[in-house]
Amino acid sequence: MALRLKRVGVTRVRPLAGGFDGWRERSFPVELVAVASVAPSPPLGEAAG
Amino acid sequence: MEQALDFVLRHGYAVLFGVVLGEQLGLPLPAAPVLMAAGALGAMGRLHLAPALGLAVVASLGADFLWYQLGKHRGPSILGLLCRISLEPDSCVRRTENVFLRHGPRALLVAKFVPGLSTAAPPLAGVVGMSVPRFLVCSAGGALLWAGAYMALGYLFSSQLEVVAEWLSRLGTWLGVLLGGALAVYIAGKYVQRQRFLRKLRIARITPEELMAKLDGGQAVVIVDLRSDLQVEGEGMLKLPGALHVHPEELEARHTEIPRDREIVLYCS
Repeated sequence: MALRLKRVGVTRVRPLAGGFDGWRERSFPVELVAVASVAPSPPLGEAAG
Repeated sequence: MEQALDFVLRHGYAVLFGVVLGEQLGLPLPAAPVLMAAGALGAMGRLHLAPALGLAVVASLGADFLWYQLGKHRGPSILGLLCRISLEPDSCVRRTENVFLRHGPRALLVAKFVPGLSTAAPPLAGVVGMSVPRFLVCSAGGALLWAGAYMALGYLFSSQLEVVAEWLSRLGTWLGVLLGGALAVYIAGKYVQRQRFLRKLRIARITPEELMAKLDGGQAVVIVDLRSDLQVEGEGMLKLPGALHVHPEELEARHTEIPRDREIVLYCS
């Protein structure tokens, strides 16, 4: 995925080490995926925080 | 070479069973050529085709059922394991899931003809909860189609294959050296390419602690969740706070919406 983003000019890509599993293992906060987003999503924007 | 052919002729059924079982378990064995050879030997009257086909189907079904059970009990992580040993792991999981979600059980009927999908389809059937009877029927059907097709090719072209086998036997050990060398170069090239890419990613990656610190500090970070629907559902419909879920298929179409002046943190597992 990182390579695909770089190919279209998005270069400041940083893969999350350990992925979602690594995040959960550290008991960091998570939230629910909106049901509608498990389907084609609305436009991208900023993260909260 | 003559001794190898003698060995195959004497132990034909066992060789066929072993090679098909090994290849379907994931080992890099040449099942397709062996099936064609079995078909050719059948045409020459030196092998009975019905038991040979039956053995190939049983071997394939046995290996598939083992992978199915692993998928059923280990879940999506088994695909990660399979794809790690693949030579193209980056797209392996995604491609497998997409084919299966689009075609369902019918994917098992043609999976053996698609490189990469052959080994990944049975465990995925277990992951998505396909029933055992349906899996056995579809997997057996797929094995019958696959083994039957290659044996039929060998049967139809038996005289040509005999000429090729004679030519190959004249090359003797040089053939083995040439083929082995070509395969080694191919695998080494893929490995080097993958290691270079992984090294670049390792330099760029962000740890969960670093990301948490940025979020706590109020830094503007765009987090993109690229997991498949299957993975999201498997994780209880949970994601990182503020992360936006994007289907991988939409990545190229929506890339203009991704800001170039921010760090993009992404995760796909």
